[in-house]
Amino acid sequence: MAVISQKVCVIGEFSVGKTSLVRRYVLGLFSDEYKATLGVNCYNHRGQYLHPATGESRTMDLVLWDVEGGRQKSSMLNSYLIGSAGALLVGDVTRPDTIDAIDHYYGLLEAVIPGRPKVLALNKIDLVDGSPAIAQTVAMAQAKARALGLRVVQTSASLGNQVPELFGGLASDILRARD
Amino acid sequence: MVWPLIFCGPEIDDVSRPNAIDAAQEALLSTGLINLVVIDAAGVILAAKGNLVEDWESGERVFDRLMVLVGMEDMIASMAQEDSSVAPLELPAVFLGGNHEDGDAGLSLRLSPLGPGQALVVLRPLDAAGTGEQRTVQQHNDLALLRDQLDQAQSQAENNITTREHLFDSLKWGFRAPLAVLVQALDTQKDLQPLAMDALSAVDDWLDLLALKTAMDDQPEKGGAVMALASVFAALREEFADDLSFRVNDSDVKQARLTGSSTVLQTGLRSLLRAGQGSLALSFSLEDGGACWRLDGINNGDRLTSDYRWELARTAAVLLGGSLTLADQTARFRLPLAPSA
Repeated sequence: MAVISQKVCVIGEFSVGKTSLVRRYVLGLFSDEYKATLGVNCYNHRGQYLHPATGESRTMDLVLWDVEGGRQKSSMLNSYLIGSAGALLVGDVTRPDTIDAIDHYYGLLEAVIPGRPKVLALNKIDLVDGSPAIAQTVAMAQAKARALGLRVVQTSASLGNQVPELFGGLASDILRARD
Repeated sequence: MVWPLIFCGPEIDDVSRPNAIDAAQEALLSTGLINLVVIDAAGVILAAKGNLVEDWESGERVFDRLMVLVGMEDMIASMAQEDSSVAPLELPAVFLGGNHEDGDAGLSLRLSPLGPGQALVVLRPLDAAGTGEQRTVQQHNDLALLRDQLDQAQSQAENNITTREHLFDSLKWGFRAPLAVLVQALDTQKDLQPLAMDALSAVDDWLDLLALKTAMDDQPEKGGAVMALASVFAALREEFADDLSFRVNDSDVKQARLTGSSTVLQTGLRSLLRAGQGSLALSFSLEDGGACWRLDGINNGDRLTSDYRWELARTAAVLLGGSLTLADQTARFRLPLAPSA
C-alpha cells in the first residue's frame, strides 16, 4: 500500500511551544532556550497510525508545518494553511491570552480548511503549580474547546508528556476524515 | 563582490545588450540566487535549472523534492489550467527538514501559473536579510513576553495590596467590634471601662503601625525621603501641650537631617508620650551622629516597659533604624542622622 503524505499545520501565539512540540515529536529533542520561528519550519515524520474506524495501522508521512506565531500576520497565515489535512492549535496554560487567541486561529482554520480535523494542545502543563490562576486558565481552555468542538490534549514538550498521543490522535482523525 | 558592468557603459552597444542579459540570468541561476522548476498539473517536474536544483530530474514528483508542496496538489492543478487566475503563492521563509536554529539556510518559495499545463516554482536562498528578519521577530516576541511578565507582576502586586488592605480591615473590624460592645456594656462599671478603651486604642495603634510598616516595605525608595521634623513637632505640641513641656531648639531641628517615614516617627513619639506618666518634659538634641528625643520626669518606669505603647514606640524606632531605651526616669528615642548629601 502506498505511503500517503498529509500536511498538518501547527499554529498558535508566539512562544507557546509549537516548535518544541514538533521537535520533541520528530527529533526527540527539547531546548529551554526560546528562539522565535521565522516563516515556517517544515518537518517530515513517517509513522504508523491507527485508523480509528478499521483498526488497521497505516504508514503515513506527516508533513508538519511549524508556523511562526503571532496574530500580526494573519494574511500570511492563510497562505500557510492551504492544503492542510488537519491542524494543531497550541496554547500555553501559563498565559491566558494565548488561550483567548484560540478563537482567532480557529476562525482562520475554518475559513481555509473547514471541517478538517483540529486538536487543541494545552502545552506547558508541567508548569501547573496548583495556583488558582493556572487552574482557571485550564478550565477556560477546556470550556473553549467544548464550545468549538475541539479535542483537548494537555501536553508538556519539556517532559514529552502526551506528545505522541497528540500527533498520533490527529493523524488518526485525518485517516478517518479521508475515508 | 565585483559586479560586471553588464547593463550600462559606453562600450556596450545594442547588439551586445541581449547577450549581457542572458549572461546575467545565467549567473543568477548558476550561483543559485534564483532556481526555477517547471512542473505539470500533477506536480511532475518538466524542467529544473539553478544551482540548488541541479540534480532534480525531469519526471520526478516535485513533492518528493519539496515536501512543503505536499497538500498543494489541487492548487497546482488549478494553476496549470489554461488562463488560470489563481494568485501566486508566496512563502517568504521556509526551513526544510529542520530549523534556522539548527543553522539551516532556509529559502523563499513562489508558486505561480506559467501557462497551459504548467506551473512555475521559484526558489531563492534566504540571505542576510532573512537573518535580520529573524532577529526582529525574536526581539519583538522577547519584548512582548517581558511585557506580559511585567503586567502579570503588576497585577499580582495590586492583588496583594488589595488583599492585605482587606485583611487589615477585617482584623481591625474583628478586634474593634467586640471591644466597642464591651466599652458600651461597661458603661456602668467605670473601673473597667478605661481598660476596654485602652484595648480598643491598642488595636487601632498596632494596626496603624502594621499598615505603615507594610507600606514602607512596598515602597523602599521612599525610605530615603527626608523627614518633615518641624511638622512632627507641631503635631505633637498641639496634641500634648497640656500634658508636658517642650524644650526643643528650633536650630537643632533645622540641622537634623533624618530619612524615613515621618508618620512612623510621629506614631512612635506619640505612643511614648502617651505611655509616660509624671511631670514630663520632651527635649530634642543632636548627639553622636544621631538625633535624640529625651523624655524626662517619668515616674512609671517600673511598669512602662510592659505597656504596649512603649513596645509600639520601640517598634517604630527600630523600623526607622534607631532605638528606644529607658534609664532612671528618662527615655531616649534615638535615630541615626542621614549621610550628608
